[in-house]
Amino acid sequence: MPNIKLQSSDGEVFDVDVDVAKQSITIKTMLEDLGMDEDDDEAIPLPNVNSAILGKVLEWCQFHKDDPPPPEDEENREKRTDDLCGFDIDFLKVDQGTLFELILAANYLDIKGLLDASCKTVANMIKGKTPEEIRKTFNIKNDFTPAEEEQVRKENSWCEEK
Amino acid sequence: MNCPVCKIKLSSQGALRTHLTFDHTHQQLQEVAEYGKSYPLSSFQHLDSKFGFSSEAQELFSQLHNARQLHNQNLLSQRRALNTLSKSLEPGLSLLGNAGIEGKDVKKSAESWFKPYDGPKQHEVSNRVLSGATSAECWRHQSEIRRLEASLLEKKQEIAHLVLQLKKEMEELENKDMIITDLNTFLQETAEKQSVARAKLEAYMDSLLTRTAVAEEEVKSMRSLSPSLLSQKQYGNKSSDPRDNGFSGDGLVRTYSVPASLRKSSIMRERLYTTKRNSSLQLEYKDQTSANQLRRSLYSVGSPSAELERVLDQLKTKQSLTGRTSLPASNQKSMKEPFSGGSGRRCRSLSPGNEWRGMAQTVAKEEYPFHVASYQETTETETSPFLYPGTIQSTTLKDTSTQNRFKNHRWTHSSQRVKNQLLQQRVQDEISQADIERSLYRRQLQKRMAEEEASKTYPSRNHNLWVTSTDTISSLGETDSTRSLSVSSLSDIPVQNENWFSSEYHNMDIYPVAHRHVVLRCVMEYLDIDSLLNCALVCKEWKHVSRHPSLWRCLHFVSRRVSSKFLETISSWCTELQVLKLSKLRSSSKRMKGETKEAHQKRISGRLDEGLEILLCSSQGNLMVVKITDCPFIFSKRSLMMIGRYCPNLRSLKVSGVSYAINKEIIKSLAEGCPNITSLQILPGSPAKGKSQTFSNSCLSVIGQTWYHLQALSIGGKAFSKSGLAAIAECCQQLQVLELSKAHKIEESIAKQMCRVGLKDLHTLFFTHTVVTPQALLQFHASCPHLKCVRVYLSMADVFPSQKKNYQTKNKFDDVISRLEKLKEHRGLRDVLYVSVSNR
Repeated sequence: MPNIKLQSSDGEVFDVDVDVAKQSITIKTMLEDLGMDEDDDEAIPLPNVNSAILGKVLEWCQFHKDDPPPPEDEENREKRTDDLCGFDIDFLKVDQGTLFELILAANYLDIKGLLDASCKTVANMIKGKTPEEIRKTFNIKNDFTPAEEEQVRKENSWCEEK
Repeated sequence: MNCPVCKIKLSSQGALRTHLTFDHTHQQLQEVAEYGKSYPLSSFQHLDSKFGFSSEAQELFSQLHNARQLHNQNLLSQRRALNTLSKSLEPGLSLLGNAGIEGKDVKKSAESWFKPYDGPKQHEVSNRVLSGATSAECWRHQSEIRRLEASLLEKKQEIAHLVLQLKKEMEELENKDMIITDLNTFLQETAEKQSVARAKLEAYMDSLLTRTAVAEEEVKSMRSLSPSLLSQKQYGNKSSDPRDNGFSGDGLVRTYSVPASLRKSSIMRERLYTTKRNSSLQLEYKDQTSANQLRRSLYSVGSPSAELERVLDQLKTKQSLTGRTSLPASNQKSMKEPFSGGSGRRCRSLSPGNEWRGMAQTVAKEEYPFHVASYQETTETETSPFLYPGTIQSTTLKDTSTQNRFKNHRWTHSSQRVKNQLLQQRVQDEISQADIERSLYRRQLQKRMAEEEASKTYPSRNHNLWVTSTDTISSLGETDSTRSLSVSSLSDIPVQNENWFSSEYHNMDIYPVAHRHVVLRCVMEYLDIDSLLNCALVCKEWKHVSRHPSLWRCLHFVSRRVSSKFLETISSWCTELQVLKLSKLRSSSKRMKGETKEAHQKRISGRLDEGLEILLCSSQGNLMVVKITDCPFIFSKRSLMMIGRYCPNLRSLKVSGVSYAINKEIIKSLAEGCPNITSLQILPGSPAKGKSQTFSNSCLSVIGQTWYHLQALSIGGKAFSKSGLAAIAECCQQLQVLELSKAHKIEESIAKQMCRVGLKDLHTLFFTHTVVTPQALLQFHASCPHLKCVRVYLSMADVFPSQKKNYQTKNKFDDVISRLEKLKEHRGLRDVLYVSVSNR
């Protein structure tokens, strides 16, 4: 199996299987459109991903390399967030900073499965929580004035009080 | 005693005196006195007796006297009237000039007329006429005066009003003047900024050009000069270089030669300024690949926001790279100085690259990120010498001693000359690349500005997106400048990063705003509406992101009490709404105590029409799918009209369980407004009492004529006949899915007729609460080659609508079902037919 080299933003080079790397649509199109030779020694620079995150991303890709391509029914896509596989749940038991970087990297590298999984993990942290609980979870400061907060609360009500 | 004037009897002399004083005027008395001079007034009564007038004379006298008395009385009354009149005139008259004089004249004349009797009636008449005329004139004058006065007052008020208006206008003008001056100053400022920025850009481009020129000259001189004239240097691999990473082109040398000044000496002092760029190959490679990325990102079909981010990031990387490669050029400029003897250009700073930094700093202040990258680079070269050893080396090259040292180096490989040519080529490429980038960058900048505008409302530590972004790109580990990661050696970085990631922190603020938004938006894609609404309450940034229209493309409300106001509120950010599904919605107002069901239905009917209209209107024609199911009463038939009005791009429409009758007019308005529908489901609900179903053959003909490209169609009701069905089958040749709901019994003849004229592409057939005979099903199966699925839903009420449930009907119903089930034994229908029974 041919390998390619990926270089993280901080200069570390990762030697990976082409099929693993091709789960990233960004890398895939780069290879296809630009006709980069797979046996080339040159490493593909990924200036938006550092080595720690790239390592994690490639770990995920390694595990999921045999996954079938995700179905593309955008319209009927139910917003389910409780359908993560066991590996992903364990894989994403990381601190919020890493999760944040993983989402960014998955978005940049266009790896739908990883983006799905990581976003769902964060979404599950948000779902069913009150705004105050959300603030606590993500250490966010409430910068609303009471009047503004009341205004948003009013906008959020499905039906006016009667 | 009698009064000598009026002959009234008076009791005493005192009374007579009072009578004379008060009741008669002086003239009258004089007149009487003249008349009766010969008679002493005091003994008037004795006249007749004293002088012994004849009785005839006495008679005459008394007659005359009576007549005179009458006349006097007349005059008296006239005078009184005149007096009162003149008195009433006086206040008005005295006020006015001419009129007043006239008035006095009138008075005088009136008095002068009051004379003792000297003529009979003639006098009296003229007096009356005259006084009447004058009083009328007076009246006229007076009224005129009054009118004039009133008009004067009016004019005065008008003038006051005009003055006020004038003042106001003056104020306004002043305000406008101020605004204009403000605008002018602002424009001037921006113009200045623009010119400065342009000058800087030009300077940058100039430097690039000079670099090319220098490089070209370099190559030329290299070509012309024999190796013996050149100072040469051979570079070996530096094992200490951490960035080599085993690249093949390790020995590649970037060479810059500085021709000496011709002005000062005739002797050519050749100097070669050679710098080994340890990472030069890497740099060049990066140049290429980042350009490739740029091109790739232009092709790629990723999500727009991600793509934008990517393009920007690549641009920035590219910028930083060009900034990096531009350093030697500035080095050269400063190197030139000692040889050209101050030929005009003065080095602003001692260390090379300072010039750039200074410029970049000013530019960075103006958020003109074109040079920010180079700024970053230059500062980095100072702080982290191991990152770009070549650059640092070049700074030390300023010493003449080091230069002399280099003089003795010699070229060993002739192939390096070829490499130099390649280098020149690359520099040229770079310049053209920079041009392309500039135009690209401008476009990106505009987008970015708009985004920045939008994100300005957030409190963020990193206001300059560019600086922070370039930071992140150069090394994600260095994002937080306050952390002061000292990059002393590259091998340290991963360790640092690991520490950084393992450390517990939960503050999203350390990330650039753009990155936070990307991540938040990605996550919010997976949230339901309630969570999304909740997110708006967390903080301002979350509110902003959570209300991004792209997160609200699909609305699915099920079993909710919804107010029109809520629909109106969310419509303000549902501007990209594509899918709207409303199912089992109820009105926000509950049934009140003692209110009958009918009254409540009447009260809430059409309650949500207004909200829906605003929502549809704000979706700006983006709506593709609208499904309104089982929302009776709260939507009236106006809602369908509105869909026809606001959703020109609708692809799929489902309306079911409505409480109003769908007639030809509604279908027509839909047909006019939404010509692109390919999936149409109009299932009439149970119509209100006393109303018959109106979804008739004419409706079907409108559907068939308008949406002849329909792929899926659901219709229902018992108002249309088999000829209508045949017409639909004939018109809609692309029909793939057909559903008949609560329709008349479908028999073989109908099936035959429909299959003969159409239904060639049909692959799914639903009979919901519609009785279908086994023969008809067989007919469909035989005539439709693509038929994959036939589903029949039946309940007992469908088969025997009028009869009550009893044992007999139950048996009959079971018989019908079993006959349908038996069809499954048919070879072709085994995997196609599904029969389900509901126990209604």
